[in-house]
Amino acid sequence: MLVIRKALKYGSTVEEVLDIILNSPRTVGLNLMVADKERTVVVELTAYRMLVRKAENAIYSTNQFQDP
Amino acid sequence: MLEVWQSLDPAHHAQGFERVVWFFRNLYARFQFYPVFKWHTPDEYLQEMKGFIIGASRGEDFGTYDIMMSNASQDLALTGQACSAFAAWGEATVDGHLYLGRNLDHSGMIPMAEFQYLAFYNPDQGYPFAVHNYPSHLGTMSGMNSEGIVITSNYSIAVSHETTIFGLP
Repeated sequence: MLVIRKALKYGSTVEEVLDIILNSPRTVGLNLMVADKERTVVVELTAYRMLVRKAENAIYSTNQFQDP
Repeated sequence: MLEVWQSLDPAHHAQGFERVVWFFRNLYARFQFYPVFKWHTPDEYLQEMKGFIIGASRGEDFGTYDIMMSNASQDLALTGQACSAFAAWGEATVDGHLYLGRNLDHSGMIPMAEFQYLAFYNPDQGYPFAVHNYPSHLGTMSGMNSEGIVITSNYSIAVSHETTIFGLP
């Protein structure tokens, strides 16, 4: 997925990566796990919506959205 | 240098009516999906696709249709529902460090799994990054950059009105 490559090229923090993803034209449902030196989040996204899921010590993602 | 001698395209193995179906599917993909994906793809990636095709064909082919559709396989739901990832840190790990793992079990990727590789990019602009990838794929499902950013992706089920082909593949 080219949006991930774009985020790796230009992102240096989780916030920057989320900004790049939010402002890129997207297509299908995806769960992205994004980590930097300080935190890890899961981004649940579709072509039109995006939601960031956070946790205290552990987080996972599979093939469905956890947050309704 | 990678040379693939056997076609992975099911259309090449189809017979009779199946062959007719594949002909129209390819026609639809070529004139409906391809122009849309191409329009949304930045020029730097289109140039890289051209370079990939020219190199792989030894200068005999310049078309980006095949490589674009390969990169759009996930957008067209051809890879299947699979993959998962986890991360643990702080009190969840013995030393408090972050541990992040992911598996790749896309059924649609099985024919290509034998050829998977790691690619290291040093772009003129932006940060150097490394990705796990398959032949012909410019985008990735797992990668890390020099700033310590890690991104992994899992295909997720979404209702049809939340998806579109009008986006970056």
